[in-house]
Amino acid sequence: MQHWTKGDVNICVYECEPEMVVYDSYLKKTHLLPSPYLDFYSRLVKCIKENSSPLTTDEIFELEGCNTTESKEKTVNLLKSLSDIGLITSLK
Amino acid sequence: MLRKSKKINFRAGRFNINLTTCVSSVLKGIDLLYPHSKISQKEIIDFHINIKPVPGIRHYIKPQVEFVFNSIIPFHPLPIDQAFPLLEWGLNWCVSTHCHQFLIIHAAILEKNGSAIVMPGLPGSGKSTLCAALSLRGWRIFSDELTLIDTTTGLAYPNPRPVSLKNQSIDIIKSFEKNVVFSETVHDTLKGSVAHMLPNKQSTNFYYEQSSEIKSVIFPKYDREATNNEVNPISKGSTFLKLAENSFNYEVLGKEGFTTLSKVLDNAKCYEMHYDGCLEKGIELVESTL
Repeated sequence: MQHWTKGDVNICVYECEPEMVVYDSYLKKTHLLPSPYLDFYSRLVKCIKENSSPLTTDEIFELEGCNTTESKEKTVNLLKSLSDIGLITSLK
Repeated sequence: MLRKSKKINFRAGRFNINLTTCVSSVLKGIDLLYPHSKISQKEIIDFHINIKPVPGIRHYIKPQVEFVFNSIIPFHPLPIDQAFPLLEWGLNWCVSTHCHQFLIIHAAILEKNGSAIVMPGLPGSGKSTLCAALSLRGWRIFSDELTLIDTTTGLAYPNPRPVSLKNQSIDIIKSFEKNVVFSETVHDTLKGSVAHMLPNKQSTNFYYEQSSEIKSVIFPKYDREATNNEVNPISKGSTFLKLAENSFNYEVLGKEGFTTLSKVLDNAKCYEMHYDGCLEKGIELVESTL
């Protein structure tokens, strides 16, 4: 097991290839996460924690620095994948 | 049905109980299913319990009993013939809501030669039936309901108590092995017909502080129509989440619960098992995972 700290977001990670189980001590939630999404997820949680509110898609684009159609599509696909595994709810 | 109120101290699994009751069936059940478990008045008691008749008109018409723990009545009263199952369910409640030194998972756990297997399962998955059958083939019962995992070591601790069997499982186990001691079957409970089975001697004679490493986590799925009896590996990730969902206090423990499950899964293999109810085959499949 590893403890990851991204900024002030504390995440515990249990690696079990090809997945990771992530315990988010801010949201107090446990998620099964495909390995490549961890960095993206960490950034989202950090931003949610800072704002103390849910994020809109536009805010996520801003967070990720998406200013082209291509980069926005890539971020939307990441969000959809996280939504499919139950990590993100209320995706519009 | 009722007698003069009596106080007894006895050991239920790894916990010391002080019970006050005047209900004959409860005292009879303890004599039958907790033999040699009486403890001295000097022992430190974990739970003080009272099983008592509901006062008022219910004392005379369709009498009911209630489970009282430290002056708290956590459940609705039940008919007096369900008094012993009520005690057993109440004891499970006491452990699962108070013993946070353990990560507690709703799962059967058995041990043999130092290796433990955990079998979580939804009602109807065949978990308790398989647990009873394994215990009749030399496995020690750590528990048929509550798997207790030490949060510092990730090791499992025994808490052997009578095995709760329901509906058809009662007759299946009675025909699987003769000379097994059962309580009287109680009908029309919320879970259907219920009977409790005395655990084997190697379970109750086991040294309670002897912990065991969990080697397999198996999710049994009883399916009478199953064409193949088989056991298949499943991912540790999905097992992790299922164990967390089946835990009584994972969320209470927070990060400690997460680290405890991580320790368990570091050493355990994970499986899903389909079986058609043939207990001998089920036992064979369980043992093939070690």
